[in-house]
Amino acid sequence: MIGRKKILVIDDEEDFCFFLKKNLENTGEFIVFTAGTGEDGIRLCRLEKPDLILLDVMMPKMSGPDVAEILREDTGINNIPLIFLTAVVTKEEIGGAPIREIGGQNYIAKPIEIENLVKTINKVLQEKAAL
Amino acid sequence: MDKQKILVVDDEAIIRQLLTRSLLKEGYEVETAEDGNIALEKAKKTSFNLLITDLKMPKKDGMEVLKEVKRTNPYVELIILTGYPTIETAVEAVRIGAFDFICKPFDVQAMLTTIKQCLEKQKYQIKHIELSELMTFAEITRLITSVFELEPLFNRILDSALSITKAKRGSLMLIDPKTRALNVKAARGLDKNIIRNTEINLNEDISDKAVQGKEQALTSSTLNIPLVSISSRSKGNALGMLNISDKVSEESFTEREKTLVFVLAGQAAVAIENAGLYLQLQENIDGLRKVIAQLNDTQNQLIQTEKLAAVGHLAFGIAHEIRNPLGIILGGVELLNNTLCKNDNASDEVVGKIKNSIDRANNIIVDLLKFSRASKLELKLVDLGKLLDEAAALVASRARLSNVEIEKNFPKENVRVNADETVLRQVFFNLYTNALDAMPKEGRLKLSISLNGKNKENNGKKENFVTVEVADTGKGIREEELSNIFNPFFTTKEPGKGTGLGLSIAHLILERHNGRIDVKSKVNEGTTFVVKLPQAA
Ligand SMILES: Nc1ncnc2c1ncn2[C@@H]1O[C@H](COP(=O)(O)OP(=O)(O)O)[C@@H](O)[C@H]1O
Ligand SMILES: [Mg+2]
Repeated sequence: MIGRKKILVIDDEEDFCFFLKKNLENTGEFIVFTAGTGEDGIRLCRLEKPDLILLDVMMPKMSGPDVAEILREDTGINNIPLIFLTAVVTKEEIGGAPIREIGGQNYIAKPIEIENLVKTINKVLQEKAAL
Repeated sequence: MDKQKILVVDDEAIIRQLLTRSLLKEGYEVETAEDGNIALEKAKKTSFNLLITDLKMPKKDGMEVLKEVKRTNPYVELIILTGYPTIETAVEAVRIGAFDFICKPFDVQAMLTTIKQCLEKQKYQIKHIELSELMTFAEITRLITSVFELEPLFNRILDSALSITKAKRGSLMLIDPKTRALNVKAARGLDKNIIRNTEINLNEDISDKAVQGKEQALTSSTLNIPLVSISSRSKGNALGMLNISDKVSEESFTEREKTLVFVLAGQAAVAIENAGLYLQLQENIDGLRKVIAQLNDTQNQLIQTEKLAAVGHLAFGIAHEIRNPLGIILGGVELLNNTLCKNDNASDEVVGKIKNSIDRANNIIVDLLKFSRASKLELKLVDLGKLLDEAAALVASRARLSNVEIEKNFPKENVRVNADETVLRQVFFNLYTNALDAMPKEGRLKLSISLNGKNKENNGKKENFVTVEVADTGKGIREEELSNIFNPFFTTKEPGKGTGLGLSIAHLILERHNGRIDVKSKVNEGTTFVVKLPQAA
């Protein structure tokens, strides 16, 4: 288990979380925690201190950006890299790339193939390590 | 009714007196002349109904007098009175149209009867001539008033005037309202150069008097008649003039011809005025038609935009509702493939097919999302040529593969528009992709930018527009499809190949940029999309 990166997925789609966890862990590179609401996500984040967070934008009650704001204000976890997952930003808008920065934040359009997601996660992690 | 006038020409005083007395008693007006010259003098002043003349006279022969009087007064009747009848003079008298040929000495009573018959005949003949003249005249006026194009109208007026007066040469001149000069509008029998260079300033020439004074300016062989409309609109001002000269037979113009041509001029002026009004009306109607067409066009564009905006509205919600399940399906398939059926070729194929279908559904959502993007533009100054190039770079390799040559025709200077770069690039990318789809084997894709100036009104003020043409030599679009191509989901491509949203998106995006998109297409020849955008100041 050593060397595996801890990933936190916060998404209200239970099945999406389930498959994402399985697929990411199948690569052998990650350990994945999942949360179905913003509140659970924040709690889990403080508890597990993940290496990276995948955060759905559109969730009932607390939205992705709301969650992000709270995390940013929390000194213990405010430097964890964060990638938004969204169904309403298009790949073409991003200029064909699977990820896009909007307002200094990374976005990934759903659906995304696991291979691409893994590449993107690793890229963000490397950038973080280089800082 | 006026008394009928008779001129008696005889060198014998006794005959003059005898005839005068008898004729006065019958109620005729009588004048006499003792020789040909005096006769001609008198005939010039008075237009006689009847001429009774001796043939053998000193100074001027009776036959000569007759001919000359007839020249100015073609209706005059003749009775020849002679003491030396010969076959030759009799024949000549008949030829010239004399009513009778009476030998001296004569019976006064018989003479009076002959005169009565003669004048009676003349009366009916004049009536007849007048009637037929009036009929021709009525026909001419009818013709004139039925012509609404100016040039044919001018020619017809002039021809009518010439035919009424039996003249060979003439011209119709109109006053230019700005320069106040007379310009030749129609001419017959005149040198072309003279016509072209004739521009009479209204401060010179006899035509001046004719126009300003509204009176006939007369020289013996020329008629200059002002064109004064009899309608109330013109307030009695002359529009121009009608000049007639050179009678076919070298006679001078008769009073009657002058009257007729004068009346004709009045009618002609009305006709010219009407034609002018008609043209004006026609222009107004044409203008109105254009406005209506524009309105229809705008309405269609608006309806189209409405539809598309509604799609854009829906797109956001749909994207969320559909792409999330798509994400789950994709995750599930990948999980199955990677764990349960690892390294199984058959299941790889199944997974591939499922993934394709997910892609297909996703592409529609992606296109739909572009609608909602189109409503939130981030405008900035964009170099249009550069943008077209960037979009072309995206399809360059595909174009090479299908032997499509890309040809560019951009102006030297940079053409800038206010636009959302990403979104506008999308428009041209869509157009290029469609063009390439229409040219699977080979072809030419022509991109051109032109500045064609003020060609659209916007709230009353003119704006400069830029036109971009994207022309291909592909299969073209059928007439019945042409009206549908901008509708969302209209596609003629195989399932999975087209979403039918590309042009709808282009339409909405251009609408949002205050531009527009139109199409021209011919089956098997090619298609041209014409994009217009406001040029940035
Ligand atoms: N350049 C072109 N040549 C021929 N047909 C065209 C062209 N551009 C568009 N079309 C027609 O218009 C339809 C709609 O185009 P579009 O809205 O871009 O949707 P799609 O390309 O997904 O079918 C196309 O399916 C095709 O029939
Ligand atoms: Mg298309």
